[in-house]
Amino acid sequence: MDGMEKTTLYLPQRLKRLLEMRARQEGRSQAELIREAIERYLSRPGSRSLGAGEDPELTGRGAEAWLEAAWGKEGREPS
Amino acid sequence: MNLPDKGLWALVLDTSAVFAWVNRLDPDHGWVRGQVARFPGPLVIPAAILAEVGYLLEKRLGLDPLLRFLEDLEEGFFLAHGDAEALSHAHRILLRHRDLSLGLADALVAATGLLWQAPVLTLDAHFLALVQGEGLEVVHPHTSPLQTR
Repeated sequence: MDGMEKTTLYLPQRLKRLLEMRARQEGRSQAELIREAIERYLSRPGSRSLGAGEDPELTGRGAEAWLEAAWGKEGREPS
Repeated sequence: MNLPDKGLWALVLDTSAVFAWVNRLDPDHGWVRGQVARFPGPLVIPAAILAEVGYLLEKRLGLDPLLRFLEDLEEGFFLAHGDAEALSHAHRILLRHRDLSLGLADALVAATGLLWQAPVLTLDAHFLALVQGEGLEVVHPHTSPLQTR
């Protein structure tokens, strides 16, 4: 194929099954979906918010309980 | 349904995951970062939870991290999504799972995952109850303990 280079890759079984299922659903080839996924990954912009803040006390696991307490609702144990 | 972007290898994030993403001191920060890297598709955040995410980020981390988060939304790193169909799904989920006390925000997160046919990245174990009942795929430290960075 013009402008293409052949490559071989190994996929976890779960990912391979998902790929096969999605290709059937969309009527597209697995290779096409793999190319699209790689293009998306490489074109994703960098994140500005990653690690942009510091809170040594509150964690994501406790965020919902904190929100409920902050908004005056009955607190729920952090999971 | 005509989604704004194809849900191929998309990932839906809830409030807990976003907070751990922004808070570099969160014990799950590296885990969340590693999970996000596994999904090349859109990183979807239900538009309806942006108010609680924004409140949490500003109150706990300050205005600058909140502004960085908004820049990520504007520049397309995260994709805010919400429509009437998501609301209908959330309504149905709340009716079916009254006993879980999910709340509208969590129900909308689950509904968004179902609409996009995408896993929900969360640190909230309540979502695990929806794996069997709704067929929701959940990425949680209990289900994906590896892939840390």
